[in-house]
Amino acid sequence: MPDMGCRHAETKVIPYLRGELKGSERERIAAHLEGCAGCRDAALAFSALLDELTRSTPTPPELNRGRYRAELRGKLANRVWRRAGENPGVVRWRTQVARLLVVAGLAGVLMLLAVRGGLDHQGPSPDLVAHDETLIGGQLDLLQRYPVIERLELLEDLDVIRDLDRLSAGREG
Amino acid sequence: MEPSDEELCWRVANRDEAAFDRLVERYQQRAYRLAWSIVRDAEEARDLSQEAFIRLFEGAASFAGRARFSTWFHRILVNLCLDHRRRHRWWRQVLSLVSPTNGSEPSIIEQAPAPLQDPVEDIGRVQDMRELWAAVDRLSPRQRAAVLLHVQEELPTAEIAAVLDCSETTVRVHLHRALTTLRKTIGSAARA
Repeated sequence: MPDMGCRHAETKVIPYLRGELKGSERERIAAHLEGCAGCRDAALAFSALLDELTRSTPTPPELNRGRYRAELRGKLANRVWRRAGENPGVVRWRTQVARLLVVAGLAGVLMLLAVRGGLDHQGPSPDLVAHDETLIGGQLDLLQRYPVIERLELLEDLDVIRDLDRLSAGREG
Repeated sequence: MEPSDEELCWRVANRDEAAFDRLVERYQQRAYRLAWSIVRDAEEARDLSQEAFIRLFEGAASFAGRARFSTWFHRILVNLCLDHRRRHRWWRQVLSLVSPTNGSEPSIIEQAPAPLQDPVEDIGRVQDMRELWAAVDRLSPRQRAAVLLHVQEELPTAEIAAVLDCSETTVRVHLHRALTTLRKTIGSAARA
């Protein structure tokens, strides 16, 4: 089980092996390795492993540099072209689609307005109905006295008829 | 006098294609090799390194010059490769079940430098090396990237931290754990 010194050394051994530690820190790790057989063995093993890995780094299959650059140029041109939208055919097509969408949108808004207007004319709104009902309700007692009013109007008409002869004589005179 | 990488990158930000070609010339081999070390597939390594150059061209203006150009570019490349591995992990596992070895790629033995010592003595060494690199391939992606940037690109810990976008302590822990795992693998292989 590593003590605190070993734990501290865990993250310092590799920088120590690579010569990345300076001054007192380097001396402290050197002193620890001298006194701790476990860490010293680990440091030796790590050093051997790093040497082995550096020496034996696998190499990839040969790269055809000319083909690589030609491909890269093609991909780059494609990407730049796509981002900037420099293809006239695509730009024209996109413009036409945009115009169509705007026209369709306007037509849709107009249709919606027309449909709503038509609905408004088809019948009174609930508010208007309520208003009419209130007026009718207020005049209901007049309607109940309608026969009396009708009779009064008839009497008035009879008076006019009776006075007709007098009226025409007066005009002639 | 040759312009520095940083100077070329600033020129690329102003869409100087000659400067871009110059950077590609300087870095294409290293970029391809590092990508291959991570993904272990020549075609994918070519695609990913080319994608890194395209990102460089598109994002050159965002290079602030706080880090070295090589660190900034490695960061783009390593992130692309790690993302690629993450996305294709399940597919790779299926393929490895179907075909344990990829016939189009040279084996670790074929890729190793020509032997300088007695061939009989080297048989054991080559075997160890094959196991060693197979163990590197089994490390976690970030541990493997840290090891590769360390042994292959010979980057100092501070630069590896900048490439992997983590602290130097994290890089040291990655390396320590990776080497501990490799040591155990080699130890158990030697005992077997």
